[in-house]
Amino acid sequence: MAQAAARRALVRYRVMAYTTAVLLIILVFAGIPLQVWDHNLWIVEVVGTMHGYLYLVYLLVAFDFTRKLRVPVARMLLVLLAGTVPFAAIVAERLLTRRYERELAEGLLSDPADTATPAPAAER
Amino acid sequence: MNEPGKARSRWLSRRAIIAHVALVIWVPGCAIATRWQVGIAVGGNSLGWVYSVMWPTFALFAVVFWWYLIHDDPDSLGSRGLKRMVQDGPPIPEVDGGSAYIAQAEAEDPELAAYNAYLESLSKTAPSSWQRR
Repeated sequence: MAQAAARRALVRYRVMAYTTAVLLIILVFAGIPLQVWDHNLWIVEVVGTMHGYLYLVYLLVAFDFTRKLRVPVARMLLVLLAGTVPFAAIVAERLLTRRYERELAEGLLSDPADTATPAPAAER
Repeated sequence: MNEPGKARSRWLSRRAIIAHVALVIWVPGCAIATRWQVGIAVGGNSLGWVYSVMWPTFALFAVVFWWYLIHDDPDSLGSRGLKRMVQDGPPIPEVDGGSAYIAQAEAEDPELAAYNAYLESLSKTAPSSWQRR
């Protein structure tokens, strides 16, 4: 896996993590109180729909990124579920970004084919 | 992939079993949730239609993710696996550039041998920027 591909996966994942996290916080801490006490449904309907569809995108992007980082499967499932728990996606984003930086610093994300393969031997 | 031991580690490793269990719980859960949301939608709450589409999609994603997880190379998982993969590197294929064949063809055809020698002399005098790497 090329380093640039890992970097792109990181950016995609971070954008979607923050987007779903912010929408979910609005939904839970503004939409639901308004629905319960004021019977005002518009935030729940608009933000709920947006969060629902964007969570699908979050799932794809988070799965791709955690697979590139070789995250163990149980933790991968937690990251995917974090998109449905307020603030959990933000915590997951911090932990995964740190993991990415650690793996990058250890040279684990560079493509072995780029560094380990010697140049093709010249024909005599 | 056809070796029985390898198939077992692919389908019955700890990681694979976590993936199987998650799938077996998740997909029927999605089916129940879909029924529930269709009921809400039919009851007149339009938001129910959104989730009636969403839950089957979650189930579909689960199947796709499960398939990917089963087919990941088990030796490269986790930070340790990643380290191992990078240290070992990909196997470098041993390629014979066909030198035996070329030598035989040159022995049979002096004209070819002379032409190859001419090409070699050209490549030696070429500026280094022309050569690969």
